[in-house]
Amino acid sequence: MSEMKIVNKFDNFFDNLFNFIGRNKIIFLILFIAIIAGSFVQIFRQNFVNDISVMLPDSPELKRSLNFINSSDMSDTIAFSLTFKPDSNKNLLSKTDEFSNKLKKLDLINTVTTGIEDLDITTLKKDIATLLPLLLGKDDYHLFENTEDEEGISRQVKQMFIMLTTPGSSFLQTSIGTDPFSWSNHILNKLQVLSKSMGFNVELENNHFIDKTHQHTLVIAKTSVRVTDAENSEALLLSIDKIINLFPDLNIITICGHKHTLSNQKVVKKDIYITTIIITISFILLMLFTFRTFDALTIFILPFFAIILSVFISSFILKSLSFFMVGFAAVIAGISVDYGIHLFTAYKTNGYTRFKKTIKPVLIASLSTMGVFVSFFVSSVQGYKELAVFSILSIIICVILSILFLPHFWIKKKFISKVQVPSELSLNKSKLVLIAWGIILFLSIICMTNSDFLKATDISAFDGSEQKVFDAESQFYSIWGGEKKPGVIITQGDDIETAWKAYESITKELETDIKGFNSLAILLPSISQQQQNLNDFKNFWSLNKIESLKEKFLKETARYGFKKNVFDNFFLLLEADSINATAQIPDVLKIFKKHFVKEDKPVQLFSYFSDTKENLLKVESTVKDYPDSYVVSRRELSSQIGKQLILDLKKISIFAFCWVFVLIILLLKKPSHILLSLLPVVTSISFVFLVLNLLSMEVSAIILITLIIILGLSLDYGVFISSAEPGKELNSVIVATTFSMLTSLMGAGALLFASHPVMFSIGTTIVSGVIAAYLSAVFCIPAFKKVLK
Amino acid sequence: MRYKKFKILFIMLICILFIPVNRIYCADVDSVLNEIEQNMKNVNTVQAEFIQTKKMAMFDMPVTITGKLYIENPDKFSWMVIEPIEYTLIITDDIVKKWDPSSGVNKMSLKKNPMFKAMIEQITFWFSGSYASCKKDYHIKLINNESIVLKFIPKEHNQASQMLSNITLFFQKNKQYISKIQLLEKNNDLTEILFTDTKINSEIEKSVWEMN
Repeated sequence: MSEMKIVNKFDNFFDNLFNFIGRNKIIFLILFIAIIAGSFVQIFRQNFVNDISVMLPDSPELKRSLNFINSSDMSDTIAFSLTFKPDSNKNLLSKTDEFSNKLKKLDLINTVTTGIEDLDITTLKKDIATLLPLLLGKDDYHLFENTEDEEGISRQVKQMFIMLTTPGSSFLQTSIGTDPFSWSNHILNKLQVLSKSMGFNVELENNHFIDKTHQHTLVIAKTSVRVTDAENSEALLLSIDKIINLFPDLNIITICGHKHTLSNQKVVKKDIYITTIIITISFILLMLFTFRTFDALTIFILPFFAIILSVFISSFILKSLSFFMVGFAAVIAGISVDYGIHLFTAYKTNGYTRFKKTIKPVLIASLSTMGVFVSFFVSSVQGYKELAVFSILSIIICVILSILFLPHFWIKKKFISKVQVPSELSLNKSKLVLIAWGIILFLSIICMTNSDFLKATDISAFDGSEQKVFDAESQFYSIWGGEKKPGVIITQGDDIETAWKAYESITKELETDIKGFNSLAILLPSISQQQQNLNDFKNFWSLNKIESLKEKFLKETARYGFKKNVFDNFFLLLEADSINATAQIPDVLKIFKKHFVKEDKPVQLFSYFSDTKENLLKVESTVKDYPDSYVVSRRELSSQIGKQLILDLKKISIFAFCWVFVLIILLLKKPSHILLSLLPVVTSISFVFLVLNLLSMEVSAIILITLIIILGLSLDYGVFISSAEPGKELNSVIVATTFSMLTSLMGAGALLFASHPVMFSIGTTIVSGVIAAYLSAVFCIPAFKKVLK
Repeated sequence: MRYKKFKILFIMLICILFIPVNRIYCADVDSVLNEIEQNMKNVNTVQAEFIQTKKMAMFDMPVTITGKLYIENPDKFSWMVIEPIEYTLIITDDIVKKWDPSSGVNKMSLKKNPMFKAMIEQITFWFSGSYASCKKDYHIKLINNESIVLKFIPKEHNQASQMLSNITLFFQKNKQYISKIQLLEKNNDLTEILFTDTKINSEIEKSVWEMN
């Protein structure tokens, strides 16, 4: 009794409100137009971002890795590979210098490197020789073996003579007086390993980076422009292109993250343009050829206005709006137009009474769809939250306007023609429908269970850059390598000396175990270790030992005609009285510093390793014992993202299913209605996997998240059709569902013309899901009702 | 006053005389470099005996060594020293092989040995004949036009300038190959390599590139 009262009270309130808006519809229309105009202005001023990080889970570890990548060499680097065109035959190195000098003049370029400019191997060898007591540890004392017997000394002096009489050996003279036994070569060989930290396979010619064929040179520029800053990226690449055009005889390949940003943006913009045109034309055609009345235009235009209004409101709620969200606009338009279609069809079929009766399923359907989007809030992915805010707002606006505002502009004229509805199928035909449905469902479930969900963690699926960007990169990597970026261990500390202790320990643990391990600590011990090395060196080279060596050595050198005083510095070095461990990185080795040290707060020291699964496991097990160190690797990042995304999807799915179940149990009540309304949900979700399999498409995070939207859409069809009484009501509902399906298909189908992989996969998922949901709702629900009767 | 006028006239005369001479001289260097480069391009193999004399601050007396040199373009080089001690250095591709009676054979990769690589680049460049390409890094002077003598002085930006004062190359009368190299270092060390009995484009025995 009390329930009836509430319903009556609500009915009265609704009637009053509906009539009030109807009486003042012109005022409301003017107000509506003014708000839309204001929203347009705000949208044009809005800066949309194309930052992949909005699509990634929000975890401190991920954020740390992404921050490192964003602020490291990996993101601010622009690499150029230069070579002459076939007919040119000039000096490539001088052209490279010319090109680099032009680049240096650009405001957005900070530094340009064409090689190791300060590397003077003669000076380096001489300077390293003076540091030997600090750099050589006890493990290196096998180098001193030649000094212990006369035969060894004789052999070494002979080698010295040979070296000095070989042509081109003049630069050896500067270091031979300090290091006649060439102990510094041991350190120089370690420097070779360090030079690999650049990540490219380079050789040096006249201090320039050249490839192994000596046909290409490498120029590396650093920019202050962030990869995600599309506006400045465009300015940067335009000015680079102008410089490249000044060198018509050179083939220059440019690779950088900024190219991906711009290319993605270009592709997305083009896709939005194409899909908008397709949707607009399709909606107008649908309106003219099916409804055959101009007042239907209101229900097709409404979602666009709703989207404009929701972008406007979202711009106040959200910090930034991403292109990803706008990419979903067409889908949201397809979903939210459904409510208008159902209400419009009801209104046209049986006027205000049927219209009012349809409000309940519209509310159930919209609440269930919104519930799906509400579930996105449990995700840690910022992009999903943005999408949820945007979609919920669009649906609320669409539903409110469809119920209260639009009907006042509809002409009260019946238009619905007779449609052959499946409820009229015979029992045998119904059984056939169910058998066909069973077979398809079975195949779909097999495809779903066989899908590789781990592939959903591949973040490269978000990159929709044009083919020419990828082609340039593969060409570049075929010359210079470096496609596989190394993993990095970051060791932090308040100052360089503090951080170096952990850095050195990690290096000692991993240096021999890991192929391609690279760290400055391979060469440079910590200050305390340097001091220890110095003490050990002094202890080893006692005065007696030095005197004994001096006697034997000078006797031998005299045989070849060497002057006596040539080796004075060597014997002073052995005494090591004037040597002190003062600087962690001596001046002579500072050329390598930029690859290994970031003097920020805290100081960061970098070690590099080949980013393989095996190495990553070893590195992680070592680094876990060092609280101030962490690992950044693409493999690690991918695995972290994967774990987080799967966790997120689980949370979203559980929340969405709970919401949907609670809602349909509360509102539909009858178990048969509940089960039948879920039929399109099960069918559509599994059918998507069958289609993905047929199209050889991998499951991506985007596809999984779109499936959750399919859940909401297909439930709408199930709710409307399962709760309609057979006959005229079911006929009207099926017509409305058909239009709703068509509009959803138009919204999502337009995305099938998109070039961006994200948008294309959204389109494929929704089109296949919606078709399956529609067919199962329209044919299978009535068939089940018939068979089970 | 008369003296001043005379001085101006004299300077003008010098300038007038000097400018064309200088142009002719530059043109001569370029044409000589081109001619040598063309000649040396046709050289596939070289065999010669050499006498190298080094006057170095490190040694009490000049050091003289004698031996044989073999070059097979593009990437084979052999330096066989016979006196006063016996040793051989062979470079094939990126591999350097060293031999002497007491140490035996030692092999090393140039890629893994930057010191040796720098040294080998020094050696092979002067025997290559591609001198026109080094104009960016060296001032090149034609010392003698009849029997060609070229002096290469490293420019300031060239790292070689830190060690080297100049390199003088003496060519055979037919301009086909080098007859003598003279290398003066910053510390006044002087190296002179004199080539005799030079054979151009004669077949070199395979055993020269092998070490047992």
